[in-house]
Amino acid sequence: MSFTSPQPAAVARAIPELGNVAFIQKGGFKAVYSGTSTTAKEALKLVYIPPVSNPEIEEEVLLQQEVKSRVMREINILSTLKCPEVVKLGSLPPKEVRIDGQDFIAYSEEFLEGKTLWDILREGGKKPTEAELRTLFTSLINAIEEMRKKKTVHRDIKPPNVMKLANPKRPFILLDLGIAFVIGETALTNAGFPRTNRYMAPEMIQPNFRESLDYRSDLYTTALTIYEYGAQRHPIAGNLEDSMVTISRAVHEIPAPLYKHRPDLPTNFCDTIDQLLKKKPSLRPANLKALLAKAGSPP
Amino acid sequence: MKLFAQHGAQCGQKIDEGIDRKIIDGVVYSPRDISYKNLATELKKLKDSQPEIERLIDPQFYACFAATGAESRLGFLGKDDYIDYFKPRTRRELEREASVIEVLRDSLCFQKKLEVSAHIAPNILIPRSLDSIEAVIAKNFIRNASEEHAKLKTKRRLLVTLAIARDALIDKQELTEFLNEITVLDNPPTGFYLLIGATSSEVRGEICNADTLSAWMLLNHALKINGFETVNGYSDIFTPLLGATGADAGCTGWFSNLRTFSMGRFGPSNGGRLPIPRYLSKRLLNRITFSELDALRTRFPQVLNELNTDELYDTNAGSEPKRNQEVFQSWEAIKNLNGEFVKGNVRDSLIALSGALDKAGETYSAISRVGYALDTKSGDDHLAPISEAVRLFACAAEIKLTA
Repeated sequence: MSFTSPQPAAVARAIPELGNVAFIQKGGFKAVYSGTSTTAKEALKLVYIPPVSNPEIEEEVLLQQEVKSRVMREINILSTLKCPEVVKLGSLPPKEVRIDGQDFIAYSEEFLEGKTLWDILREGGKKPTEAELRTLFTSLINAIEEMRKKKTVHRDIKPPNVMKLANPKRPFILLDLGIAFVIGETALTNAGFPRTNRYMAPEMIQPNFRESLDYRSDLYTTALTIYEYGAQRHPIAGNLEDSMVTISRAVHEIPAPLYKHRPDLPTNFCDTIDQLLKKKPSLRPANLKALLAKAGSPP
Repeated sequence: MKLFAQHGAQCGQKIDEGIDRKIIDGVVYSPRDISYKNLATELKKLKDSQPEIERLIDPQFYACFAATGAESRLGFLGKDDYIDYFKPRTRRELEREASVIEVLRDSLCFQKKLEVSAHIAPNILIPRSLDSIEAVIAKNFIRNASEEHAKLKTKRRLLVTLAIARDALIDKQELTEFLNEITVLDNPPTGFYLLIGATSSEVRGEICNADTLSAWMLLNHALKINGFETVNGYSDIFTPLLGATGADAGCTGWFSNLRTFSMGRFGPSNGGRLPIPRYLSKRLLNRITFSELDALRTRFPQVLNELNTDELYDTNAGSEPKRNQEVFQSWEAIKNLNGEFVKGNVRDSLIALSGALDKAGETYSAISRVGYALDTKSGDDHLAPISEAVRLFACAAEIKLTA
């Protein structure tokens, strides 16, 4: 499914609610721009709607429906999450727009001035301090707790989806609930398993994962994120390796203890991260308050 | 790790003396074997004299399906003493959640009137599979227990009975999925009273096999990681093994049917003679007969525990103890083993346990080399399954035992 990111000028014409439109990035089936509303700078999301060349082709029809449903579900979920650790919706409600012959659903989120953990990792440099890692842990656990109350599992917590801000009240923000799963609701994904292989909880490989999926999958991917950010290396995946190898490692390989790469960190912090990386969900401590007491920031 | 007395028939003064000797930390009472009036008296007396001693009642609701049998042996459980909560039931009745809630309410209200230190909520036995109707019923008991307990407005902890037959532990995938469910409850109890059932308390091999033991260890480990307290009923010599995985307490008593959990206790009697008094050797991780002890203790002093209760096996009496005192030696030995195996973390505990298994093997080999033939139950058959159980558990718990 490929598309061409529209020129900012074309976007601005299609969406007059936002001015000063500038391109930021493109990924997968989404293009992101900045723009200013009457009150603030916002992040404009354009989600590509794949065309249906022939209504008789069921696959194309289903794919289009899935994309639309997924966007609406993400927006609905975001609208219910009030904690500061999750990205907020902007002033532009979702609408379908046609730009340069391509169809999109456009909506906006708050504009966040910062870098994702993925960008920071690629830049290299000093490893984060214990205090920063604890703050990151606390932010992600708070987000998970909020989502848990709404019976929602993010499923895609990873360094590219966590942004670091200079704001001490909102030091880390969780982004992109594009494949978030609401327990009990109809599955939206008809083609394959929704996941990023490198950051996949092992139970996602089970054919019946939807029946048993819960927030402990997010605890696993949180631990993966913190391990990679803290150690500046992925605990399990190799670089540039075949995706089947990555999946196999996720299911079978026991990662080296975090303490091996960060001997400066306290043992109980490292042990907590290691325990959350267990393959079986029942072996990951599920009590969020207890987790915060052990590995979070001091209150 | 704590050790509790598993109460049963012919209790006499055993519990009082066990407490006085400081070799037990609590008691799990068996309604089958004590009238309500005596139970209430015992609990109050214990609370007043030794308030720090844990006082628990096993509701034994799992015997409700056996209650309809003509030859069932329910003791006081089948009389009016416990009629407030214990009645014959059918599985079909308990498929209704409302019935489960009624049983929970009645049992917990019953316990509230007594001087227990914590409540044990009832449950049925899961006999064949963790993916069965009985398992669903058992999970309903677990899910609803806290809500009913909260209505009592008590500060006492709540342990929920989880009784699983060893046959139901064979399927590893089912066990994994069962654990995944019970470790993320909306309204969790404080902990669990775990029972692993054999078909007969006389057949040690049913429990002392690698698959059963490793599953029992995994149950404790997963529950403990998730903050639950675990009390293991009828755990006897396996108490330190479970303690190595994080268990809070184990229990054992003075008869074989108080050392292995079996529904046979509530069924027709098979008769049998009094067993030969035995000595629980820490080094051998097993019980040997008193005459075996007498024969070995001079040449192999390492089979002795060097604990206070060794005095009960006087060489002047051919090392034969008084029958009603054998349990004190067991309790002291197990309590001491708990102290040796239960370290700060699971990995170190398992390594300590593995070391003890090696030493036990060496001692058995040394005994064999001098040509001394031990009784069938005294031999080293238990060592291989326990070793394998440690290996299987470490694998299931994703713990690397080697560097």
